[in-house]
This record gives sequence, C-alpha cells and structure tokens, in this order.
Amino acid sequence: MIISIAWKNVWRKKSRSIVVIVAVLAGTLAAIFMGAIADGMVNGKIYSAINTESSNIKIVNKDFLVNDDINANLTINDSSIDFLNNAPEIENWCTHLKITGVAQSAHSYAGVNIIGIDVNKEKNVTNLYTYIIPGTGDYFEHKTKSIQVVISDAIAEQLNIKKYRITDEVLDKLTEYGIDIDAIKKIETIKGKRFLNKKKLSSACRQLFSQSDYNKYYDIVRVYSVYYQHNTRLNFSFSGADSQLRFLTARVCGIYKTTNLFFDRMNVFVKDDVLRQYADVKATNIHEILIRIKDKYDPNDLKNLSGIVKKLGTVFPKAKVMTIKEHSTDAYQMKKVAEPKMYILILIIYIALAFGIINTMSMAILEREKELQMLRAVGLSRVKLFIMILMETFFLTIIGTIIGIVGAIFSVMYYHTHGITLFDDVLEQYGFSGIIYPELTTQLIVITIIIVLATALISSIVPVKHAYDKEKTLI
Amino acid sequence: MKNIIEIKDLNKIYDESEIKVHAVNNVNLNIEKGEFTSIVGPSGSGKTTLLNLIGGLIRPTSGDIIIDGESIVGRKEKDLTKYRRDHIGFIFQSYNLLPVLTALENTEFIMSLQGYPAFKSRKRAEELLKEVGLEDRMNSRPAQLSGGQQQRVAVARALASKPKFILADEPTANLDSVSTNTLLDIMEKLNIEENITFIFSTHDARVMKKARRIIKLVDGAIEE
Repeated sequence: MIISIAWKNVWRKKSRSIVVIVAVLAGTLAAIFMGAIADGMVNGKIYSAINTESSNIKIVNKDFLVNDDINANLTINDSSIDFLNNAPEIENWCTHLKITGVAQSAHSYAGVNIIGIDVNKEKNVTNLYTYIIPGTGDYFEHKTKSIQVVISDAIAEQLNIKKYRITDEVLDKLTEYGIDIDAIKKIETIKGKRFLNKKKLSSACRQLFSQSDYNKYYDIVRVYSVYYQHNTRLNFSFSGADSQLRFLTARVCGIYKTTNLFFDRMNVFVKDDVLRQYADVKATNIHEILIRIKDKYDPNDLKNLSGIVKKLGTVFPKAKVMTIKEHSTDAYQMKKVAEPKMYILILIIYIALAFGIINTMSMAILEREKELQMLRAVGLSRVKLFIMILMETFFLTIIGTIIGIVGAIFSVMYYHTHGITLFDDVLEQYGFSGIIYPELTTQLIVITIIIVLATALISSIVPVKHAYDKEKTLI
Repeated sequence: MKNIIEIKDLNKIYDESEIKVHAVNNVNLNIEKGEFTSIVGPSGSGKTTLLNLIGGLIRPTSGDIIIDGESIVGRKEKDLTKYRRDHIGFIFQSYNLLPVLTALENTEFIMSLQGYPAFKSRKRAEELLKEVGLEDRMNSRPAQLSGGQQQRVAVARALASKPKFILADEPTANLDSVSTNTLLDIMEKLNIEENITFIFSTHDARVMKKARRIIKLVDGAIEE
C-alpha cells in the first residue's frame, strides 16, 4: 500500500510532477543521445583507422618512424612471408613502400606520401577501394599503358583537379532542389564558366548574391557544380634509394574520399612494382606491413593481440609492431577518454536535475506536513516513511528516464541508419567523418540507469529529513 | 473496573524557548476500560499535550504513564510507533485523511501497516464504514465527502486496528451541529455496545453533555 500511496502522491499536483518528469526525460534523452554521438564519432574514427588506414597491426621500421628515410626499411624474406602466411591469427596482410615526395599538377603542387601497393593484397586488408568517388575512375581496375595513381579528393582540390562549372545539368539539379527562380537566373549568368577552385567559385557567388542568399545557396551550388578533371597527369618528385632526385609521371585513375581528412591530405597510391622501379628499391625491402587479424580472435580487445604482437616482434626484430594503441594513438585515446567523459557529463546533468527533484519533493513534503504527522502518529515507521518518500522520488525520476531512454533508443536507431550531418566541415578538419552514425551501448544505458537510481536515492534524503523534522508536532 | 490508563505525577515542561512552559503539571489520573471521557479546559490548558503524552507521541519530563499495566515511558521510538499502531486509535480535529485514498482505502491503511491480509482488511474496513453509516461512500475520496463524513471515516480508521482506546483531539471542532450530533451518536453507540474507551479533548458544550466523565484542566493541572 505504501508504494501505491507513493504512486498516487506523484500525481497529486500533476503539472508540478510533469515539469520534473519532462526535465528528467529531456536530460536523459540528451545525455544518452550525446553519448551515442560521441561513441559514433570515436568508433567511426577507430573503424577508419583499422579498416582504411593501418589495419589491426602495423609493422614499421623504428628509424622510418622517426625520419621517413627511404632506406629505413624492413626486409621481407621467405621465412617472414611464411610466418605471415601461416600464423593462425592472421587473416590477410599487405606491404607498403612509402616515399615522401611532391605531387605537381599543371596548376599547383602538394607534399604527399607516395604509397606503393600490391592492389590485390591491399584490397584484402584495407577498404580504401570502397571510397572511390563515383564518376572519378576506379581503383587500378582498368588497364592502361600509363602509370596510374589514386589520389584523394583533398589532394585533387589542392592540385586544382577538382573544379567547378555551372552547366545546364547543374541548373536543372538546383531547380529540382527547390532553389528560388531569381537565384537560378543569377546563377545562369555564370553558366559555362569554369572555376579552378572553391575560392574562385565562392567569390563569383558573393558577387551574384546578397549575404543571406549566399549563405543559403553557396554550399548547394558548390556541391552540384563540382567536377574532376579526368585522367589528369601528375608529376611526382622524390628521393630514390640512392638519394638522387627521381621523377614519376602518372595519370589519375581514381579519386577517393575517406572519413579522415588528415589521411586524405597526405596519401596517394601507385602500384608497388612501379614505385619500386622508379625509386630503385629492392623487391625485398618494404616500409610497412599491415596485418588483418581474424575476427574470431576479437582483435578489438587489444589483450587478444599481445601474443601475435610478441611473435611478430621476434620475426621483425628491427621493427616496431603497433596495434591501434600505437599506430592511431589519437583514436585510441579518444575511445579511452570518451566513455568516462560521457558518464561524467551524464552525472552532471543528473546532479542539476537532482536539485529540481529535491525542490519539488521538499515542497510536496512541506505541503503535506499534517498528513505526515498523522501517518507517524498512527504508526507508520520511519523506515516505511523513508520508503514512501523514496518511492515518490523514484517514480518522479524513473518515468522521465524510461521515456527518455526509449526516445533515445529510437532516435539513435534512426540516425544510426541515416547518419547525422553536423558541422561536417569542422569535423572533417579534425579527422572525423562528416556524417556521424550514433551508436548506443548497453553499458551506456545501464550506467545511466544506475546514475538515475543514485539520483533518486540522494534526492530523497533532504525531503525525508524534512519529513522527520516535522514528526514531533502531532495531533 | 480495571484501569486501562494510569497516569502518575506526570509533568511536561517545554523549555525550547527562553520561557519554560509547564504544559502538564503533576497530573495523576486513572481511566477505566469503557469510559467515555472528555478532557476540557480553555485554550493552552494542556489538553492536547496530555493526549499526546497518553498517545506516546511526545515524552514526559517526569512521571509515568501505564497502559494496561505496562509503562510506556522510556520505550524506544520504534516500540512506541508499534504501540501506537496496535493499541491506540487517533481521531484528529482536521480529519487528516489521505486525500489520494478512498474512504475504504483510508480505513484499510492501518491494517495494512499491521500486516493484515488484504482480503481481511478489506472486509473489516467495509464493516466499519457500514457501522459509521458510510456504506454508500466507500469509494469516495475525502475531497468528495463532507466534513462530517470525513470525520466518520476517521472514526472507522481509528477503530480499524482494534485499539485499546481511542484518543480524539477536538473531533467536532470543524463540524456543523448535525454532523456533530451524528458523530457523537456513533461514538456513544460504539462505547456502549462495543465497550470501546474514548478519551477526547473538547471545548464543545454538546460534546461535554454526552461525556460520562469530565476532566477539567487548568494551566496543565487537573482541577477537581
């Protein structure tokens, strides 16, 4: 009956209780959704680090890590190949020849890492080939006499291979998008004009539009008017193994865009045998080995990798064998920090809510002074009085929490499929994916519930004290 | 007749403020089983304090209160709570029913504290409400009842725990004359037919008229 009374007491002043419930609901939904966004961001970065950039394990010559010297390489021989092919933990592996150089187009130049890859082996370890922008070519798939290079969207932008042009097709798309007819007419005045980079397109748009229209239309004009100059020839210069300057000319066969702008800004890919020939590096010398671990060994748990890391250390004694903890330190640290940070944030939200709950409950108790005196007089024990007030606080808190959790689950489910585009330009600048796919963990929900229960318990202490203080003035 | 309540040299001094208040002054009193006793006196004479002391709600400064042969002075808070729950019925001036419960649930409430099985307490509550003439208002909440009806629910609630006696603090103070008469008739009937002991404080001449014993308090002391 005590619990039933507590439940009924919650609804005595409906509007007051609903305000608290809505506050708890909003706090819970926001806390869990933010947690899921943070998890989604960090997991996206980790996914990219493992699946696109460096795989589960990366082996690099220790000196190469310090100075990127072309001669600071690893020697791969029959016994090491034999080990990599037969170790039970290893799913696939590939090697990189990695040379720092300069890429030059007809208009501009950029410092890059030229990475020599064995295309088929690479595809078994990294998923870079899935990031080729449709319409920009492919991942070394078509045969051609010229040397092929895959570059990133970011480098294409830097080398002015990524250009902008207003065509009839672009105007049609903009009309379909729902842009105002007057704006379309203005854009039509620059039809056929080619803009070498987004800065030039931006300045043309500024001349066409007022500031508010520019803010409204520029981004969409930029996205629809972009095109890549196909088959562009690029010249690469770098130091060979003999420290002599070497030149390589290649045609862009595909342009990729991953979720990590830092990675994209640095790396271009050519076939291993070509780069090796131009740089004059022996077939047995490589700079990096990327290793993919079988899923059954649960490589996400780094403890499970310690055995294979140790064995690889003996096979490649001059090398540093790195897991994500070392080869993508930022992503790993973020993962480690993100969770406790999230729980602290949830705790802060609930501490703030606790003040509201304490205030509401204290008012409710003070209003029911005579009633509580009566209850104590007729024989309600202190323990039962505490339980009653605790349950009232608990109901006030848990109703909002349950609705908040359910709301958060549905929101996360929706956005996990559709993604959230929030400050994509800024996020990409910091190496995160522009589209965030929130992820909800059971742990996040369980810890939220524990914090809620603790909040309810703590919030009931002050009202209970008020109730105990009043009990002596009876009849 | 056996004394149900024996009060010996009872004193209660409130000394929380600078001025000490001698609320109950050397009271000696015996109340027998089945009495219908009224404690009367002007405001501030110590009526409520005396009832609070008998009900174990506050502790005396000195003296002894013996209920059914056992002293309640010096008992632990937990024991006193249990003692009140099981042996005393309370009727309050302003009814003090739980507004969220129906008349039936208010009557059942103490039995649920006593650990009665739900079906038994439901049956007894229904019988008691019938006895006080509220069989057709069992499912009404206090706000839907008149003052007199609420006080009758309070009587039923006080009887629910099968107490040794009932303490009523000015039970008719908020009632009109019709409700007062109805309530007094019910209390008198319960006293006569079921030998239930009633001790109530009052200012009301109509109540004093019904009482078979009147104890007059002046400045905390009994005036014979």
